[in-house]
Amino acid sequence: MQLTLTPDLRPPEPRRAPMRVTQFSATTEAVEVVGLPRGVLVYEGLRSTGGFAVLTGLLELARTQWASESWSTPLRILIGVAAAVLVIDLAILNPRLVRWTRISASRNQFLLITGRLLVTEVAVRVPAILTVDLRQGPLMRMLRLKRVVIRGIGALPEIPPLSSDVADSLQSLLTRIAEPQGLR
Amino acid sequence: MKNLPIRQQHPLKDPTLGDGRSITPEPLMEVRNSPWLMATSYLRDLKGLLPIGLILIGVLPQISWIPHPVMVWLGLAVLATGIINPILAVLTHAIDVSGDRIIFRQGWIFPIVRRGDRGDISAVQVDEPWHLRPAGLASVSISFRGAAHPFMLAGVDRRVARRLEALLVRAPVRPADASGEPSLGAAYESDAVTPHMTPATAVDAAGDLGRLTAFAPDRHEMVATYLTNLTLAAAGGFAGYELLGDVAPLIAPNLRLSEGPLAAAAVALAVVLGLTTAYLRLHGIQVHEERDGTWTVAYGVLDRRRHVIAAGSASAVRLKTGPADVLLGTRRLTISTADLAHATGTDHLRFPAFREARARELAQALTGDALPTLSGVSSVRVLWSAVPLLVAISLLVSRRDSLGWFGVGAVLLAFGSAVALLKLLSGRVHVAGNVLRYRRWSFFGCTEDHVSRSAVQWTVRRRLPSTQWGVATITAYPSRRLVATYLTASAPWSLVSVGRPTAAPEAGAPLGPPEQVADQHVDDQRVADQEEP
Repeated sequence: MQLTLTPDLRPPEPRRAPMRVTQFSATTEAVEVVGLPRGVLVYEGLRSTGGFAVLTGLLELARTQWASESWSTPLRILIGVAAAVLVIDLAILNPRLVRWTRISASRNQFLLITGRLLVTEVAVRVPAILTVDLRQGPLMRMLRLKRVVIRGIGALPEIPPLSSDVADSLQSLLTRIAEPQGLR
Repeated sequence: MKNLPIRQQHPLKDPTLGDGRSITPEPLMEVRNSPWLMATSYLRDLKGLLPIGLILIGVLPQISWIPHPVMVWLGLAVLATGIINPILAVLTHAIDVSGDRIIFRQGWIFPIVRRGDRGDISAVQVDEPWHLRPAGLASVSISFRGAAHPFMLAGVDRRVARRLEALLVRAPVRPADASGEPSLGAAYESDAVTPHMTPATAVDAAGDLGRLTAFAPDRHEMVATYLTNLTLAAAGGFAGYELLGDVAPLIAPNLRLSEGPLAAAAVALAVVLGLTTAYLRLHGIQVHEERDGTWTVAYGVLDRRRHVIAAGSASAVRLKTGPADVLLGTRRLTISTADLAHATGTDHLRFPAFREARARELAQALTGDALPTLSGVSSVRVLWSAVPLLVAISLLVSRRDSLGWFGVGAVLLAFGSAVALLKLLSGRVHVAGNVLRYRRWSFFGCTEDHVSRSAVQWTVRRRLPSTQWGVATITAYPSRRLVATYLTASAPWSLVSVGRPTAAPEAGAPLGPPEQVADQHVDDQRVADQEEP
């Protein structure tokens, strides 16, 4: 058995570490992922921009069509705040997500470090995993990304999109070693 | 009364063999609800149907906008539902046991078939409520690991229920009873409140067959159990208050409830009702371990209940210490198994109060590991922790007129927030051996959870990027209620790997998760074994 050990699972501090290209190694017993592919930046950026566009459109529609004059200024301020959040998301938070995310899966444990503003560390006992689903929409297919959805007994934190080969390896590893947990 | 049938069917014949050999090594056993369940259900439903009938006859006709035919059809629908449900339960509900497979069938229009494996059974619960006992019936609930809903038959013959229980959770090595049909409530027919039945240590009762551990509360512990059961006391108090509130105006129309004698009578009645309710429900508690590793918990006077926990399924034990416990010198115990959810409206067995040493001994016996010997709970600290609760109660009582509804709501909200914050700040998790201990404080005292190694499933910690301190959440299963949220500086994987071999990192060794470090050591050892001549 060959294991690839990550020297330190703590995410690098943004100012100290440069942007990394995804490092991925997979064996039959372990999967290690350091960083996310740059396609995730595009995907997350498009998601943020799309959400901003929808929100701005609704607010502008409300300002011009339905709201009275007294509501015009607050709605303009709201649109400005949304634009500021979008800029911060694109410039700071999404790169953080790409840089901070690390995954280490072995026969017994699934470890995940991710986050944008706060660092979220997750450790899951693999026998507790019930299903491992892969989801891929048109945009993710275009960017060759897949989202791994792990379901256990209860809700687990969301895993950011991974490249297709990483997601396939992760699903193969986790589903092979999952054990039955009884009735569902 | 005629016993309910246990239908012994012939094993399935495998047509491909052609010589009559069976493909199923064990006979099939089918258990159905007794026809007497219908009569007992109607008896039980009278309690609920009476108020509904009064509403239909007395209240709804006063509401002019509801047409009379609607009320008639509504009443008929309620009546038909009450009549048909027990009939359907008798006709359609069944549990089949075939080898290691248990099949539960229910429903007629929309039939449901659920399957479970015997190895996944975590507990079997046999209840004998007051309305089933005259007919010699009992309800059976079979709980499985990972399943939210147990297989349940509402009314089978009590001997069949006990036989099913013995078949499902008892190990084959257990010697069968000579009679073949265990007597009803044999474990708790005798009064448990006797000193000679309260051994504090394990008793070797079966010679070479193994050890049998029994924990039956003595009189002091039973009194403490009654007094510290706040839920029942509160229910009794509420019932007493409502009763006096209805009766008092008839006796003394000009007397207000808050006036001295009547208020004292209400409190006294609440105490009496609370203690009586606790006595009827909890009297005769016995907790004992069978020789095959199963645990049995039996209790109750009117509604007799008997939980049999499969070996190794008691995954968590909770010890609560409140001000009353400190004064009485006891600890309240809660045993968590895989899933007793929806069987009796509770997924925990929470009743006995034991002396501290015995409570810890029982917790150790249930979790199968030695409990960490950490500092005990300070009595003074427990008493001081209740001061904010008393202040809040006195504030609500003294200022209830001036506070108004919003003021009372604000006080309750502030109190609840303070409790949550105190739990978060005071929560501590210690790992010792194969046991994880989670201790936290609230304004009701101290609560400790002892969770065995296999129960911790996942841990999440959220922290700021520049610090290691963050809020961690542990989710333990089968005790799915145990969600420990606390401040910590340790990595989450140090808790998920509870109970697994962890090696101390050597100098220069990679600092990875302990699981991987352990795996690496195992691999190194394998390589070394292969290289040796």
